[in-house]
Amino acid sequence: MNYDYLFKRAKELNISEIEVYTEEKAGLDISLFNGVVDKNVMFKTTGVALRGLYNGQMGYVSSEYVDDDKIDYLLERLIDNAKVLTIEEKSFIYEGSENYPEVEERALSFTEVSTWEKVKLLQELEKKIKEKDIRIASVANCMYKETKVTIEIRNSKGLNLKKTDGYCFVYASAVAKDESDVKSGSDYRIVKNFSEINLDKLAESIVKRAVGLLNATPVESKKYPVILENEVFADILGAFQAMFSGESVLKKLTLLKDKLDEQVANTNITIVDDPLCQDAYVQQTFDDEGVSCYRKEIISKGVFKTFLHNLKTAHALNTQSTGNGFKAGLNSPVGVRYTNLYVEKGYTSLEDMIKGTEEGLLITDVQGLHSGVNPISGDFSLQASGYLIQNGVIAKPVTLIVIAGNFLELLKNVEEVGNDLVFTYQQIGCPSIKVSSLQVSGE
Amino acid sequence: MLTKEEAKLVLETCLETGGDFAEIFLEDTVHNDLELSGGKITKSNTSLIHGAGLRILRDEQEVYGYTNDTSLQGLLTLVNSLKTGFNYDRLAISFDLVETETPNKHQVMINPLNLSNADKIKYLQTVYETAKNYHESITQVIATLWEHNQTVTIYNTEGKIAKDERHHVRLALNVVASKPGIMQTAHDSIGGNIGYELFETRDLVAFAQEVAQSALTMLEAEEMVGQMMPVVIHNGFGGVILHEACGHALEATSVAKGLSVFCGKLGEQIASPIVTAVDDGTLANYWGSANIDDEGTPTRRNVLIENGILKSYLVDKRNARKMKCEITGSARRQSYRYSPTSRMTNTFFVNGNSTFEEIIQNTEYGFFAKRMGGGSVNPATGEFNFAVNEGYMIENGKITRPVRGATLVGNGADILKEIDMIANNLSTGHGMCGSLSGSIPADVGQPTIRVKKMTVGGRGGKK
Repeated sequence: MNYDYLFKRAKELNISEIEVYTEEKAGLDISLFNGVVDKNVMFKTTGVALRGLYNGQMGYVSSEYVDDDKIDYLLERLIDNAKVLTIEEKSFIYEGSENYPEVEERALSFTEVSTWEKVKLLQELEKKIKEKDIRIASVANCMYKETKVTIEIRNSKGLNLKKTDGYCFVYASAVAKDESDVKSGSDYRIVKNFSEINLDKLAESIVKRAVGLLNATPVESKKYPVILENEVFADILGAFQAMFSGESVLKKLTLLKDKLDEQVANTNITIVDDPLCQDAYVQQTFDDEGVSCYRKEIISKGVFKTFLHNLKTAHALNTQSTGNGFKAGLNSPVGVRYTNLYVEKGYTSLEDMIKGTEEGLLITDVQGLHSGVNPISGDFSLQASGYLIQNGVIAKPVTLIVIAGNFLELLKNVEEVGNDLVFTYQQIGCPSIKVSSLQVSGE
Repeated sequence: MLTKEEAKLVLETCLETGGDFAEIFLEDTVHNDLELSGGKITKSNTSLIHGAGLRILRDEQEVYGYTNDTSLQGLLTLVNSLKTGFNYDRLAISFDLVETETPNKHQVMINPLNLSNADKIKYLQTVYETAKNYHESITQVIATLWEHNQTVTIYNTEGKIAKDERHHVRLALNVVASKPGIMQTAHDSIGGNIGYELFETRDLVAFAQEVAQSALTMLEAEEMVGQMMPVVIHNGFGGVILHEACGHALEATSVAKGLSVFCGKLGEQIASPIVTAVDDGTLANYWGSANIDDEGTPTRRNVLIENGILKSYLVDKRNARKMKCEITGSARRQSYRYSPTSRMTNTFFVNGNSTFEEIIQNTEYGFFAKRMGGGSVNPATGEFNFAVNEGYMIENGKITRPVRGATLVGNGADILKEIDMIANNLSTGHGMCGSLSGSIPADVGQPTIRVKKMTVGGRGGKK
């Protein structure tokens, strides 16, 4: 991209400030079925997103053509878009923060490993899953993905930042069958270092999830004390994370509006957004506006402390950007997004939580997160499966039930917080928790 | 722009890997998004999507690669990296590229690319103002226009050159109604593979009023009390049950691997005898329609279930090899970034013999799901879940109280057999369907149906 020409041409067209966000991605996507490579995808893409201030409005345009002869056309589209906007909040192109945090560089070792070794890894994983239990009828998905991304942001105010990150992802799902039932279970690992993947543990978890639920049945409809396993709690938190966004405040779409410094959760709940968290698989030193990233507590011992902000929402609400100005994709405007969002772990093990439950449910999976939650009202109603607990031990597997409640009420009713914090692929980390009561619909 | 000769050279180079089939999928898309929220135009975005996907098959094996660099050099570089995944002796295959003409069934009168942003915004304003002014409890309204103008060109070693131009436009409305401590939302959309004439022919005011009323009704609704009961699912987007619980399990992606509950059931009774289900990508200007699929095969009408008997799966080129059956014009993909696979287009139950009124009158006690939300299904087990956005109790053959927070859960294969009444009021709704080859426009539809019994979840306690 010819930046000199771009900046000069933008000025001529009365675009007061302009910014170029370039994203280069390369990667691999392999999956295996019955020992044979079923999917083998290689890619390398480049895209640019331009944003610029025209008459005080931020116009956007993005393109997967990166030819210099497209610059004029893109600037025209940017102006067309800016012209119709009537956003009240002021937008900004940022000159840069004084300091940026340093993170320890972690080598992306998977780029050094041959495709053949990656296929071999999947073959081993598939074999281990099949060998663990005779009830495993098939391994439905067995996949490896890797992505390496380079982001560069340059603007007419002199900002010039660049970062490269990447990870690899291994996932499998298995189908378990016996005389009377079919169930499936899946799990995955995301790592930077190829050799960190422990296939044995991964296979064991997948098999347990599939086989454990065979012949599961619904339970009686009533209120139960409920233990949400770490990843399930993370899924539910993920479905509601928009309530922490400064954008939701501006759109009047959050129940947390006017609740700053109020007790919104039990005192055992602390929710953190930490871009530099070393336990997570991505670290961010600056956001997509070039603002420096840092750790902050959103809910501190149950008290709501801060929304997450980009430059625009911060200015509109008379505060500072929290370094959470991120794009949802190349062609999206800069919105607000968490970096690594997690609930601080407690002291109780999942085993002790189960032991301490006279009658209750352990939920190990929820479905319908894109439809069964209302992020605005906080209500959720989710298809779930897991286990019935009686007298402190797992009594039987449970499926096709619906757990329903309100997210804020749930946070207030957390009785115990587990010590088993885990990060999901959505960059959300949670320990298992025990909630005093949730409505369960089954039979 | 790639010439015919260059395309031939790329395909010939692909065959050097020992493949028995190769394909180039070229895409140029102009995507526009507009959003009117809280009385302001809050979003106006344009993105140019441009790239190529290359696919090589050998028997049932496949390698796929994609890039934005669609120059001859860029594509040849990509072929080179594909060779790392595929390396056999070249087969004796020769072909000549010939353009195939497919008649355009989806005419566009007002081309989105020729309409100014200001003209488009008028439609947003109509639905916005109508919904906002409908009632004082309507606290937030968001209206959006989503526009995907896609041109695709497919070249393959069977000698095919096929082109299609698609204009997917959709106007969506989200309404929030609130009173102290409670917010309820309602959503609906109008869309098609069509130009902006779509919004001239529809009554946008009535559309917006219905959505606003739905949010208001839910504001005053009681919480659903979870129980197992007869369920009446309304027409239009209610067809999401067929799409999720049955359609996905009929896609070759799960059938070819033996992962579907409907494997090996062709010719068998899998549904109640009153059930006939169709997937039809030819319907003029429908949201899920196209002239050709993303392998260049003309779309067609596929009868999936006829009088309860399984008649056909949805099959793409590669899975046809595995399943030893014919292709059904069902190969779709979100963009050049995805290898195509079998997907639904416009999928619906055909009309039955009852009327809507008869179904309600014949239900002594049950649940009426008037507006469905989204859902998902596990293809291996057939277990599904659907959110109900607007629901009512049926008591003594009459629709009585509105209830909120209801979720329908069940097993697809079981539900098909439990359908005991089908009305004659078929209509469709417009969704985005996500699966292996990305997120694509798909219509779901049905007349009003009754399912003898289903688990309805909710958070209301026992009365």
